[in-house]
Amino acid sequence: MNPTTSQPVSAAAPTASALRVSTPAQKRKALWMVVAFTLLASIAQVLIKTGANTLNQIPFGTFTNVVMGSMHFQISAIVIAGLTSVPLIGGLVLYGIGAVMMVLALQHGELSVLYPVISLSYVWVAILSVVIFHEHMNVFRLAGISVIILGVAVLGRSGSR
Amino acid sequence: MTTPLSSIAWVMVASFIGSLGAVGLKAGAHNLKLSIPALATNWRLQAGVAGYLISWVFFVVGLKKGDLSVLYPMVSLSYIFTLFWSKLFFGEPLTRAKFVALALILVGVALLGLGTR
Repeated sequence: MNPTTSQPVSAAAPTASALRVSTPAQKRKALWMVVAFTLLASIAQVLIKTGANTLNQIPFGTFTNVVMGSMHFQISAIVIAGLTSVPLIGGLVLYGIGAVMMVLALQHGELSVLYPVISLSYVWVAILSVVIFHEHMNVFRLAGISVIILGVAVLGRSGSR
Repeated sequence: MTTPLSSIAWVMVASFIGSLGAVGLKAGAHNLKLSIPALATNWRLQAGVAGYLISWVFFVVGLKKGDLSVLYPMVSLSYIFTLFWSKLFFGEPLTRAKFVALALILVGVALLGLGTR
């Protein structure tokens, strides 16, 4: 809370720059970047799940013959399907973009504030399951979503000062 | 569907490694320079990314068997681990607001798990 509080310098503190103080505006931006990360990661998760379901329908031990010039290969059909699956690759790319955002966000603000904000991905997944996969909204889900948002709001309040 | 203990163990280990991955990412982000030589030598960041990938493998193995509505909320255990790593490695204060927020989040995640059954 108090940036001037002297903390014992732990062995793992990398350099003096680690102890630099971020402005409230930078901390707020970091919080919103984590929120954006959770949305990206949740969409990525849905895409990866969709892609993985398609892969699961291919039986193990199925091989595809690949001919390159005079060379013949036998490559697992699952591997080929994985490498050419648009939802799977798209999901992984989104995850990658999200991870970069997460690292940039961690430059400012405390880990103990930013990390639990990732729990918003549970909220996005619950919303996406209802909207996209037409699962039922029920009292437990609604309560869960509300309580998580409340918790993140408490963190946001303490983390943007 | 019953959830085997082995799945619970895999997911718990995944959460633990994932929380250590977060420590690596945070330490790497402190002295982040966006150039290829700098990123290639930023071992803290690399360790963080590796930690995440390893935790992901453990998580996927754990999820093969068992009830998602039990296992998925268990990942939120990593928030508790991370709270203590933040204090230990970065000297971040453990405030009452953080504990309240974490308790709310854990309850919320458990409720979502109940709603997904």
